Amino acid sequence: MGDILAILPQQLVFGLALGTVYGLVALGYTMVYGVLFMINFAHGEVFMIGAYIGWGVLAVLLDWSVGGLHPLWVLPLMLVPAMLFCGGLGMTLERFAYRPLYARGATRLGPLISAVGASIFLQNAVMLTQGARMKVYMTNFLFPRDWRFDILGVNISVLVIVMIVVSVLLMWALVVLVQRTTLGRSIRAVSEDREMAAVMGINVGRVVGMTFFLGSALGGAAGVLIGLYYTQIDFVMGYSAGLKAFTAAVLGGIGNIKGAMVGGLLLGVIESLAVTFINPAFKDVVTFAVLILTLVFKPEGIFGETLADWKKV
Amino acid sequence: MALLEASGLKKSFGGLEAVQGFDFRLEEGEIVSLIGPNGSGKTTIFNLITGMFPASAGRVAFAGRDILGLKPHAITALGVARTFQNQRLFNQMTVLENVLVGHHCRSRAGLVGVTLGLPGARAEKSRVIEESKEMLALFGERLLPRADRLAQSLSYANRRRLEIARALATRPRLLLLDEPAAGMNPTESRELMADILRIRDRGVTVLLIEHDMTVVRGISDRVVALDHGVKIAEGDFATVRRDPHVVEAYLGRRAAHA
Repeated sequence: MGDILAILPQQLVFGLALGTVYGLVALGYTMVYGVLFMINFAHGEVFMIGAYIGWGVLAVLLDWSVGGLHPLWVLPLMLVPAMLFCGGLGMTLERFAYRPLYARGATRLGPLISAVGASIFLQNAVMLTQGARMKVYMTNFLFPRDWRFDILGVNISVLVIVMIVVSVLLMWALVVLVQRTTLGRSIRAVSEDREMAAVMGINVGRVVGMTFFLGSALGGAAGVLIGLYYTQIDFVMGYSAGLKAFTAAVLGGIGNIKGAMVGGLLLGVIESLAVTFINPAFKDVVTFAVLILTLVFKPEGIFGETLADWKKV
Repeated sequence: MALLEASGLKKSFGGLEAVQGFDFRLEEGEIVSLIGPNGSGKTTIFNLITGMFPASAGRVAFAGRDILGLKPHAITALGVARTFQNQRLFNQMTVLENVLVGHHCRSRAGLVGVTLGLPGARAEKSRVIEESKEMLALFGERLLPRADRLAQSLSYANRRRLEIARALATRPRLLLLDEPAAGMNPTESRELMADILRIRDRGVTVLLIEHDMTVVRGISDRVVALDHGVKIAEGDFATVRRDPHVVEAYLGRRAAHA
C-alpha cells in the first residue's frame, strides 16, 4: 500500500493532463450537441486526423533539420495546421454528411447514423493513405526525456505541463469567445432557440458550421497533444478516445461547455485512480462504467439539462 | 408603394387550409391589427411573412421585393422583425445580451477584428452596446436598470417588453407583434399602447395580432378581420366591429341576425 501511495501524486498529475485533453475533445461533442442535438460520432476520427497532421509536421521538420527543434516554435507549427485542417474537416462533415439530413427534417437518428458512417469512412481513408501500421511520434526530439523536474516531490515532465497549459489556454480562449463575442452570442442563441435565433437575423446554418469548426479544431489540437504523449498513433485511435471524451461530455452534462471541461478532468483523474488502485488493464472498464452509471443515475450529468428538457430538433 | 403587400397568399397543412387566398396591403407608418377567432390563420400569416414556413401559393412583397422563399434571417435583414405569442426570450442570457443578439444582423465587425481587438471592432462594439441600451430605454425604467440580469428573472410584463426591444434591435421597418397584450393587466396594456405608438413614431410600421379589443381600438389605424383563413372585413375599428361577418365569426350566426 505504501508503494501505491507513493506513486499516487504522480498518477494524479498524469490524470490531470489526460483529463484536460479529454476535456478538449469533449468540448467538440458538447458544442455540436448544443446547437444540433446530435452526437457527432465522427468527432473521434477528427481528433485522430489531428494527431496525424501533427505527426506529419513533426516528421517533415525532423527531416529538414535534425536537432535544434524547440517546442516553443515547433508546437504551434504542429497545432495550428492540425486545428485549421480539423476545423475545416468538421465543417465539411456538417455540410455534406449531416446538413442534407437534418435540413430535410430527418429525425435525430438520421444524422447519428450518418456520423457513424463518416467515422468509418475517415478511418479507412486514413488507413488507405497512411497505411495500417502505427506511426511513431518523435516526441523525444521535441521534449527530451530529461526535461523533468520535481514539484513537491512529484516528478513531472515538461510535456505534461505543456499539455495542461495548452489545453487550459484553448479552453480559456473558447470560453471568452462564447461569452464575449458576437459569434459566441450567436452560438448561445442558436443553442437556446434556433428558430428564434433565425428570426433575430442570425444565419443559423453559418453558426452551426462555425460551431463544428471550433469544436473540431479543439479536437485536432487534442490529437496532437495525445500523439506527443503516447508517442504512437494509428487510424483507430479515435474510436476509444472519442468514446472516452463522449463519456466526459455526458458526465459533465452534454450541451454544457463547463460540463465538458469538468467531466474531462474528472474522467482523467478517475482513470488515474483506477490505474493506481486497481490495475492499469481495467482503465477502460472503469471509464465506461462511469458512462453507464452516469446514464443510469444522473443522465443529465453534473451541469446538464434533464432528459425531460431535451428539445426537439 | 405599399410597405407590405400580400396577394393570393395560401397555406394548407395537409387537408387544413389555414390561409385561403389572403390579399393585404400595409402602408408605411400604419398601425394595423389582425383580429379573428383562434385558428383563423393570423399567426400563420405572420409565419409566412417571416419565412418560418413556406407558403402553398401567393406572393408577399416587402418594400417592393418578393420575400417568399427567403430564409428567416434574410427577411429579418431586409427589415421585418417579429415577436411570438408565447415567450421566446433567450433565458440564459442577460437582458442586454438578448438585445445584442438582435443587433447581429446589422453588425459589420468580423470575428477576426473582434478577436484581435482592432480599434474599428471596439468602436463598433461600444456603439452596438449604446444602441442596445437605447432600445431598453424605450421602455423607460422597466428594462434599462435590469440590463445585466438574466432574462428569466424578469417579470412577465417586462419579458414581453424585452421581446419587443429585442425585435427592434434588428432595426426593422416593419414590426409584427403576436398578441403583445396577452396576459397583461389593464394598466400594463395601457402602457403597451403608448409604447407601440412611440415605436410607430420612430418610423416603424406595426402589424399586430391582438385579442384585447381595448388595445385594438386604442391604437389601430385599420383593422383586418380573419375567419377560417379568409379576410372577412377590413376598415376602421368601428366599421369592422359592426360588420355582420365579424359578429358571426365571434358570436355565431344567430347573433349576427339578431
